[in-house]
Amino acid sequence: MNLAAFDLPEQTHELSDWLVTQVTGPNLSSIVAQLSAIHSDQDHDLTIEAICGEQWNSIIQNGFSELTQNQFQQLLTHPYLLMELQERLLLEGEEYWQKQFLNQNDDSEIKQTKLIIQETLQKPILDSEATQQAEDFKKVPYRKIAALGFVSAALLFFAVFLNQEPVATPGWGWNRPGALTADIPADQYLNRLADSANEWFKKPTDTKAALLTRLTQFRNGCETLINAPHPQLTIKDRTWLIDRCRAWAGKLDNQIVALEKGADLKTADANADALIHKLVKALQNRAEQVT
Amino acid sequence: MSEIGSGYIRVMSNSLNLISSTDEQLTNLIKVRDPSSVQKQEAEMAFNSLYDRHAPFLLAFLKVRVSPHINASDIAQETWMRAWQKIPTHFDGSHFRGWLFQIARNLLLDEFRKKKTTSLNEDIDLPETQDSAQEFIQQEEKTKLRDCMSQLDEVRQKIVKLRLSGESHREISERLNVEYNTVQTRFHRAKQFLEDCVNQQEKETA
Repeated sequence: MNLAAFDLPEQTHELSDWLVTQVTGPNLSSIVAQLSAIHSDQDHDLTIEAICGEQWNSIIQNGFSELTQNQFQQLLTHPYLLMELQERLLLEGEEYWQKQFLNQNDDSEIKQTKLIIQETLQKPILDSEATQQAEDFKKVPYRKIAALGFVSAALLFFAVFLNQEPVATPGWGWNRPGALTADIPADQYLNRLADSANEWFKKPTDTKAALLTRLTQFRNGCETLINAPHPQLTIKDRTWLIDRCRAWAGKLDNQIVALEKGADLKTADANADALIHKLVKALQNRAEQVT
Repeated sequence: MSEIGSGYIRVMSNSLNLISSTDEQLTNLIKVRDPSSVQKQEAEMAFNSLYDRHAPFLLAFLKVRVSPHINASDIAQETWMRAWQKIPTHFDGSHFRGWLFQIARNLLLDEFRKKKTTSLNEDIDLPETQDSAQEFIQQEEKTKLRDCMSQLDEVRQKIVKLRLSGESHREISERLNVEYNTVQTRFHRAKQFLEDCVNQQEKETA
C-alpha cells in the first residue's frame, strides 16, 4: 500500500494544488481511508458549507487557492467530506474544475465505452425482436392467425376481468401528482414526504390481495422517489433520501416476496405497518435536522 | 429528392446544432424518439452529444466509488444504457449530470450487494446505503493502518496526526516543544514503519 496521504506538502499554497490533485484523481478513496484511519476520533457533524462558507463560489470558480490553513485542516481532519466535495465539484465546478477532471481522465477508456454503447443502440433488442416477430408472422398460415387472434382476445378478456384492481395505479402517496415537485423548503418537503407515506394507513389491508396491491403500489412510489430530482434538497440530503429509499424498497420487495410465498397475513400486515411507521419517523427526523 | 436523401440532410444539419444545444434540448430529442429511421438517428446523435459532454465526469465519479473487484467502465456503460432507456419516462429536464450520477449510485449499490452476497463471507451485514458501502470498501485499508498506528508510541502518533491535519514540521516542533529535526526524522520513520507494517499485514491476509 502506498501511503499517499503522508506526502501532503507543508506550505498552504502547495497544499491547495495537492488537494486539487487528490480530489480530481482516482486515488481519492484511498486518501480518504488513510486520513480516516489517522483522524478516527473526529466527529461527523461538520459540513462543507460550515467549512467553506461564502468562499464556495470562489472554490467552484478558481479552486482551493483562497482557502486558509484552518480550512484545509478542517477538511483533512474530516475526510468523509472529501467524497462529497468531489461530487459537488463534478456537478457545480466551473471551467477550472472541468479542466482538472478532464486532465485526470483516460480518453481511450471513454472512447471504448462509447463504441460499445453505440453498437448496442444500433442493434436494439426490441427492434430485432419486432423484426423477428414480423418474419414469424409472415410464415404463419391464415387459419392459425385467426385461431391466435381468438385465443389472444380471450386471454385479454380474462386478464382484464381478473385484474380489476390494477397493481400499479398511481395517485396516492409518493405517486400523487405534484407530491415531489412542490417548490418548498427542504424541511417542509421531507415532512410532506412523510405525510404522503402516511397515506398507507388510509385504506384497509385486511386481505392478502389488498395488502399485496397496496405494498406493490407503495413500492412503485419508492421507485418514483428514487428517480426524482428532489431540487428542494441539498446533495447530502438528496443522497440520504435516495439511499434510504433504496433500503426501504429492498425491504418492501422482501415483504412482497414473503407474502407471495404464503406468509401469514397478520404478520405481513404488521411488518408492513412497522416499516412504514419507521420510514415516516426517519423522514420527520431528517426534516428536523435540515436547516 | 428521395425521402432517405432529405432525411440524411436533416440529420447532418441537426448534428451541427447539437453541440450548442442544452442538455434539456438534447434529452427532448431523445424523448420523442420513435422507430422511424430519421428520428432514431437524431436521438442517437443527441445521446452521443450528451455522452461526450458528461462521460469523463461520470467516470471520475465512479472511479473513486467502485470497490476493487468492480470495473468503473462497466458501471459507466450500464449507467448510460439505463439513461437511454429512462430519459423518456424518468428524466424531468433538470440537471442531467446529477440524474446520471444517481443512476450510477444505484447501480453501484446493486453491484456491491451482488458481489457481497456471492462472496464467501456470507454472514456479513450488507450496507444499505451508498455512504455505508463506501465506508465498507475503505474499511480494510482503514483497519490495517489503524492497527499499525496503535503500535507507534504516543509522541509519534501525535506527530503523524498533526502532520496529516496539515501542520508543518515547524509548527509541530513548536506545539510539542520538540526539535525541528527530531520532528522531521520521527515523522519520516513513522511513515516508513506504517508502510512496512501495512504491507506485512497485506501479505499475511493475501
